[in-house]
Amino acid sequence: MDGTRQTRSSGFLVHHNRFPKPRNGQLVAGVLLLCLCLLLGTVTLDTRQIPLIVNLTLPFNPAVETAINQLQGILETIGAILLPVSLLLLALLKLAAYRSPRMSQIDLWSSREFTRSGMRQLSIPGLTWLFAGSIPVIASLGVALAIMTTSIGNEIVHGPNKPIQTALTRLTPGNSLVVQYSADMPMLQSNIPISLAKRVEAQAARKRIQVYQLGQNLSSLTVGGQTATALTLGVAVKKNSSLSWNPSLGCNNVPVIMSRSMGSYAGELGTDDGVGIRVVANRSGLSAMNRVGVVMDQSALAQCLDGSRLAPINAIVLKAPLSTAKHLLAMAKTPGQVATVITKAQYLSNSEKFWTSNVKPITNILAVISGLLALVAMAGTIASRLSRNRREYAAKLAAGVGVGTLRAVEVLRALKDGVVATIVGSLCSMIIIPALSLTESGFHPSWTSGDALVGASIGLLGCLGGAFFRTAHLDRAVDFRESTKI
Amino acid sequence: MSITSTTRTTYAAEMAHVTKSYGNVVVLEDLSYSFPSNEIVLVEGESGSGKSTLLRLLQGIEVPDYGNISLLGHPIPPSRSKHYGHLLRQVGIVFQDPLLDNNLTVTENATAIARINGRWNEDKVDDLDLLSFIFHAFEIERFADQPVHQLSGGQKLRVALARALMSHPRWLLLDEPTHMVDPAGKVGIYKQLKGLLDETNLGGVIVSHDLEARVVANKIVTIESGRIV
Repeated sequence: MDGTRQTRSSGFLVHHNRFPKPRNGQLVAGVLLLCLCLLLGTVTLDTRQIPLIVNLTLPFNPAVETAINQLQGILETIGAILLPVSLLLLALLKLAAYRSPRMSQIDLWSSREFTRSGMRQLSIPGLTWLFAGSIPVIASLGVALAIMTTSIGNEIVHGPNKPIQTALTRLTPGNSLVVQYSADMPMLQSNIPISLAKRVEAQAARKRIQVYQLGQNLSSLTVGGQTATALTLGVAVKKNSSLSWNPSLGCNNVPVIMSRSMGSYAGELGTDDGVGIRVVANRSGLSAMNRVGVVMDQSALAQCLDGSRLAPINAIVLKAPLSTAKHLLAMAKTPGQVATVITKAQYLSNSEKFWTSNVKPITNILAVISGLLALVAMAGTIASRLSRNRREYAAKLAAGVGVGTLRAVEVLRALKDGVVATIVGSLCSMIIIPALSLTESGFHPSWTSGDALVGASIGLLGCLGGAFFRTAHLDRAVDFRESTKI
Repeated sequence: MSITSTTRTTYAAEMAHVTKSYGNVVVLEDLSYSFPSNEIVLVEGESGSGKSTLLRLLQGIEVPDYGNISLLGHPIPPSRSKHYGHLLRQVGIVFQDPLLDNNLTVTENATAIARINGRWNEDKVDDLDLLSFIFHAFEIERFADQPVHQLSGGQKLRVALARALMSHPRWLLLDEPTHMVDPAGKVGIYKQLKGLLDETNLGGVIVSHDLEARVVANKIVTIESGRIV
C-alpha cells in the first residue's frame, strides 16, 4: 500500500461528485440550531427578570361586540335547524337504502372503516346500523367544550341576578323600584336619600302599598376560615325577627342570613368588611359566581357597613304597578332630587346587559374557538382517514365508482359523526357542568337545551365543514394513478 | 345467472401505435395489438418490460404519449369524465394487491362495487345465484361472513376476483393477480378461474410472469423492451 486510497468500483460517483452528501447539510443545521438555542437561552433568562410583553390592542368596537353577542343566538338557531335536518337526511337515507342497493351500499360504507390500520377508535358495534360504529372523540370534545363555554357564559350573565331575584321575590317582594337612575343595577352605585325614602314610605302607607328599603354593599366576607367577596343586602326587619339588630349592642355579632354556598352553620361567627357578624340562618339561591349573598338588617347595614345611621339606601321596593309607583314618587320627590322608578324586570335586565357586554363576548369567542377547533380537528381526521384508505378508495375509483359517490360517502360519514358527537358531547357536558360548581362558591352553571343546540351546530358544522373541505378534491387526494401502483 | 360476455365487438380493446414513456425512459414503443373479446390474452415479460403499463393504459389510468386506444368499442375518455366511470363499470379489474376493505366481510367486499354501481341486487334471485356460483367456483363460501383481514393472501385474491366478476363485466383486466400467492396456491386459483371463464366465455388480459397462468390463456404475448415480440 502506498497510502493512496484505491477505488474498487468504476468510481463514477467519486469522479463526478454525484453522491449526495446529507451529512454536510446536517452539520450546518446542527450548528444553526445550537446558535439559536444559545440565543434563546440568553433571551429567556433575561426575560425572567424583565418580562417581554407584546401588547397590541385595537380600539373597542361596539359593532364587533354586538356581532359576537349575537353569535350564541345564531348558533342556537343553526343547531335547531341542522340537528333535525341531519336526522331527517339520515332517516331518508335509511328508507332509500331499503329500496336501493346503491343507497344501501353508500350507507354501509359511510358507517364503517375500510381498513384496520390506524384504528384506535371507541367502537359501538350496535350503533353501526343507526349511525356510524365509532365515537368521533375529537368532535365530541368540541361539542362538549362548546356547550360548557356557552353554559359558563350564561351563568356569568344570569348568575349575578340570583341574589337580587331572591331578595326581590322572597325578602323584599315587589315589582317596582325607586332608584337613582334608570340604568341602576347591583354592580353600579345608586343612592336614594333617607329623606326621600321616608316620604315615599309615607305616601305608600297612605295608599296601603307594601314598601321595603333595599340597601346593598359590595364587601369582603370571612366566615369559617373562608374569604369571599360578598353582596350584602340590607332589608327592613321586624323587631322580633332573628335577623333584627339591636343598635345598642354595636357593630358586633350582627345577625345575618348567609348563602348556603359558604357551607356555614347557624351560630358561626365571621366578619363582613371587618364588621362582626353571626350566622342565624342559611339560604340557597343567594349567591352569584362573583358574590356570596349576605342579608342583614338595613339599619345595621347603614350604620355598621356604610358607617352612618343616615347612610343612603340603594332602592325602595314597592309592591305596586309601575304607574302607581311613578305617581307615588312624583308626590314624594322634592325639586332637585334625582330618582326614578323602574320595574323589577328592568332592574334585572340592566344587570344582564352589564354582564353581557363585559364578559359574554369572551365566552362566545371561546365557544367559537372550540367550534373552529372541532372543524380543524374533523378536517384533520378526514384527511388522515383519506390518507389511510387512499388505496381502498383508489380501487373503488378504478372500478368505476364516481368521485361524487365517494364524496357522498364521506359527507354522510361526517353527518353521522356530527350527530353522534352531538349526543356524546351533550351527555359528557351534562356530567361535567355540575362539577364546575366545585371550582367557585356561588358558581352554578346549568346545562340547557339551548346550550346543547349551540354544541350541535358546532359539532355538525365542524364535521360537515371538515368533510366538504377535505373531499373537495377527493380524486387528487386519493390519486388513484399512484395508489393503484404496487 | 350469467356473467355477460360481449358479442357486439370482435375486439374488446385495440391499441394502435401506442407509445408511452416516463421521463426519458420509453416503456412502450409503437405498440399495436387487438385484444379479442372472448379470449384470455396472457401478457408475459420481464420486470420493467412494460406489462403493467400496458394494462394501466387499457384501464385509462395512464394516457399514451402517442397512438390510440379503444376499449369496448370506445376511445378511452379522460379519467375525470362520467363516460370514463361508465366504461370502467363494464370491466372487471384485479390489481397486484387485492385492495379489499379489510374491515368488511367477504360477501360485503365481493358485492360492494357491484351494488354501488347498480349491477347487483340482493333481491334478485339471478344475482344471488351468481354470487353462489362465483363463491362456489372460488371455494370461498365458508368464509362468506368472515372479515377479510382474517383471510390468507390466496383467499383474499379469490375475493378480489369474485368482486371483479360480480359486476357482470364484459371484459377482465388482471394485473399480476397471483404475485403474493405460493406456487401451489397459484395452480389452484388459475384452475378455478379457468373453470369459471370456460363456463362464462369471458375474455380479458392477464399480465403475469407466472407459468401457472398459461393454463387460463387462449393467447400468450410477450413484451420485450416495450414491443410485442
